[in-house]
Amino acid sequence: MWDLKFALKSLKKSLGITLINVLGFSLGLSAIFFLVQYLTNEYSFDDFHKNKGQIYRIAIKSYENGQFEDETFVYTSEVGKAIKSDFPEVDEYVSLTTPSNDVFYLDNAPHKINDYIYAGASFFDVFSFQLKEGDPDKVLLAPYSIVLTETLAKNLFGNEEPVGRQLVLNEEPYTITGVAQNPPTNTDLGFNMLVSFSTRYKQKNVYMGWNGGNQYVHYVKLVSKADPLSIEKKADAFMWKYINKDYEEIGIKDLLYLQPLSDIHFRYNPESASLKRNMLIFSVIAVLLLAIVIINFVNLFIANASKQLRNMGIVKVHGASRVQTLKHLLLEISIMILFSILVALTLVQFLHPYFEALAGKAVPSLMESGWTFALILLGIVMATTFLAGIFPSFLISSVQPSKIIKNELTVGQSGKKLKNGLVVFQFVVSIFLIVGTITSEKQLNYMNRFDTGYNKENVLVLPLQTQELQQKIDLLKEELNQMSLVKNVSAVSEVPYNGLTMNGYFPEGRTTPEMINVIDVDEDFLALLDISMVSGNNFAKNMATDDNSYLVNESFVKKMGWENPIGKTITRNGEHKIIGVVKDFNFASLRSNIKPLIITNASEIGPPNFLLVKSDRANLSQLIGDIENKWKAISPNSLFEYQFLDQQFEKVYRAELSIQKLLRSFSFLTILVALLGLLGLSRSSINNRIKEIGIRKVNGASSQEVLALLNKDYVKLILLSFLIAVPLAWYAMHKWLESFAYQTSLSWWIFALAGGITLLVALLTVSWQTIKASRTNPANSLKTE
Amino acid sequence: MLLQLNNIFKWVNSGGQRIFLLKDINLEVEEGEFISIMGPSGSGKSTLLNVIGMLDAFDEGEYNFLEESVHDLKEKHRANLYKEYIGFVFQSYHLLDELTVQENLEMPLIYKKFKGSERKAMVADMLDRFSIVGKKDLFPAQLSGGQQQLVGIARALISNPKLILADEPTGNLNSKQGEEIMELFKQLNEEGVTIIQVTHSEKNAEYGSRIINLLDGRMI
Repeated sequence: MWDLKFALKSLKKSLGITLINVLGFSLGLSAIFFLVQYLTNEYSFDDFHKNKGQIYRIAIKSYENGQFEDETFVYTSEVGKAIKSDFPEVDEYVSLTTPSNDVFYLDNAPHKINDYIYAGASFFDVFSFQLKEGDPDKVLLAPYSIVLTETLAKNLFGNEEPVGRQLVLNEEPYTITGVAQNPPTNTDLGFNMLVSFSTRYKQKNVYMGWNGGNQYVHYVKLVSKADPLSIEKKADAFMWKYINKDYEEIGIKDLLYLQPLSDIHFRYNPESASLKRNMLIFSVIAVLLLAIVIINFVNLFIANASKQLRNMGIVKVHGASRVQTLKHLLLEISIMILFSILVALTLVQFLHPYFEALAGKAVPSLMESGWTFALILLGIVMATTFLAGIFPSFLISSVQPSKIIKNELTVGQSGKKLKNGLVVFQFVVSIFLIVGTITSEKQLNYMNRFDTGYNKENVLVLPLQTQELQQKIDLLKEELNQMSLVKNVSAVSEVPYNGLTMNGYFPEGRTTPEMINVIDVDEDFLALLDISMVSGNNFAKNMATDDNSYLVNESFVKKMGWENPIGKTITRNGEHKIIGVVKDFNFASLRSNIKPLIITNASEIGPPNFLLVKSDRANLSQLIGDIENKWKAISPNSLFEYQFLDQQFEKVYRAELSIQKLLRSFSFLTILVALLGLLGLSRSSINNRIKEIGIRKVNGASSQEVLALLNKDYVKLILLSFLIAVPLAWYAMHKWLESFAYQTSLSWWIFALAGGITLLVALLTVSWQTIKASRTNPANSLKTE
Repeated sequence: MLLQLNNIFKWVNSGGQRIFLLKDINLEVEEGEFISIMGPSGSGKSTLLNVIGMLDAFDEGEYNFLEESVHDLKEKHRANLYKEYIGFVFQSYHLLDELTVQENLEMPLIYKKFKGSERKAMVADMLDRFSIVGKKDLFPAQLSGGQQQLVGIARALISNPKLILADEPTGNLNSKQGEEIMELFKQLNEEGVTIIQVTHSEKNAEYGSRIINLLDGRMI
């Protein structure tokens, strides 16, 4: 009781520094807690499935003439069913499509439903997603069955009963058979809606078979204790039986292997590599932040030590043992830490939506975070208390009581050195993070401004989401072209900013197919995006012969090694003549180099899915309204959506953008915490020097000279930090930039700016205290007690 | 006999030279004495007081306190000894700023493991004896220097020490307050408390029964 009372009173007495300390500590901790939340969430991906140890995803490695070509888990439709029937080790399988977006009609009202997947009947048996309504064994059995998530059901039906109701897609009714609980945030199998996989076999224009239509993903659940290796060993014969014997003549061989569910998120997904890198970055930031927070705590405690030393000296003279003083100091520290943790947890809870927005993905809230998170939190708290508490306590509790009688109470040279060392560490981290922030900002800017080879300014992207719109495309184009603000309109199969479909083609002289990106466009496409021709001609309007012709890009010609490509042919569903070569443009993200491309004009890869509208005005809001009216007039029951091409293009870098945002926020926070520490530190270090300042002033020093003297020490520390931080930051940024195909340069001004910013804000912080001190009347500071 | 110093030497080494802080000090103190230690600044007064108070070690000689040989005792035993028998009074009072008068008085009792009820009684007793009951809930900063020193002395006395060591107890006080404090010491001494004070003032030294003069660490 006494100890607690004394500790609280002692904290209250030095309220200013206590608050600075608690504030910095809470801010830092809340950021760390959030990062831990984020990290544990990533590590817990698809951890909740009861059968997770038995679930595998089927993956394929393709070889061409013995050469490794490609590795993918998106394959043809029949492999799941076949593996279940051929292997006794396979207990169950579930086939899925990759997520798609479509417009469904509910009572004739269009609803865009994003991220819905077709899923096999055993979906709820293999995976541990929960149904709120419906029988898990039957909901996905019959064709045209739909399972909604709670959220979607609520959006579509409000409080009405959804089961039994129908949604319409392409004039076919689908019946709702169940409602699923919303999938947790930590799954790669998230969905808004499920449609029975058997539906795929009934839909028109859908190819279900072994040798085409690569858009299916298959999971298997093995019988317990079955060895996946035993399947992989027999997989050669299996694949031969179903597909490789047909592929043999063109030299292609597909090998099947199994990806354990628990490895998928970090190893086998397309974004696994960048995810892993980001996890590393975040982990490093969390650790650095933790270090800074602890250092602050220690520094402020040491800075405040003269008061503590005096008190501990007094109680020792009056009978307190060292253990008792230690106990007291630790108690005081623990109270501060406990309080900070409570503040931090409140912040984490309160700021959760902002954190999520920052991370650019769903992260479970504090209550949803589970035991692992709680345990890690406890570990962090204990480690922090230990590191932040033990050292200063030992230092201070060792005070010799005779020192108080002689009024010789200072923290020795070692304390000062340590303090300076810790300050340097903080500034090294700050400068490092600022360099990181500026560099990533610069890289992002570079990618956004990069000349992609086409003009994406003032281009609207309008998705053609219904068959009706796709059929009325000519009318749409004509109507829109008549509008005064519209410069050009073009119908395309895909929008060229984030990769395009690949198909197998036989260029002239080749006996094996080449997998090549393809985009289907009309004759207005090149003009609309300012893509220039290198040689040959664009598709001509109203010339049926051109429907059969192809354009290719420079990379294609280069890959083929052709001197004169015009007039050569490419075979796929007949022979196609190359009539022109276009200049290379980036149709995929700038992470990779420009690949070969075929441009077709025959709708041979399906009807156009998007309309591009180019305006010569920057302000498109008026135009959008007008287009919507025309749109609705032509197809009253369709959904009108629009995007801006340049914004879509930027979205491709969402991962980088999200990293960038996080980096920026956490750098800011880290620097803020470091500055709070510096504020407290300069405050007490100046209190300790108040007498010295008085003496100097009495002996003729001006306020400016005193200010310079006081600031000089901090300038030295920051210079030292700068020298340490620059090579570290240079190396790390160099490594990071290497992961981009097109990279910005690491200019010297980035480092100068980072150093300058740090010096400036640090001096501003310190000067707040030093200016006051340098102006004090020496008569006051030199008065003896 | 309360304590006895035989041939006490204390020195520091500075730049290869040995500088003596105390040189061959011989001193016997009987219970009930009131001794004043005098001497110019730097003559070793406070050092001697710290040696007697066992807060500072010495380099040579013997020190016996109540039949115990202090020079042979381990640090911990020595600490126990002074905690039990010696009370300290400081020039700058050294009260804990964050505690009230009452709590400051209670503090030493807590470390000496007195029970709560005992502590209350002893504190009440002491407040009464020094006529500061009305000030018990005030903080040191709310008291005058003389009143603070009064609390300091009350705190030194609260666990009934055999010896009070006072290092310039009136050094920060005006003459009237100083006089009152010295009167209090005199009264305490008459009640049987042994007192050793360090002082600059001839007048204050007169309150004592014996004066020891130091010069350059040596008794003269």
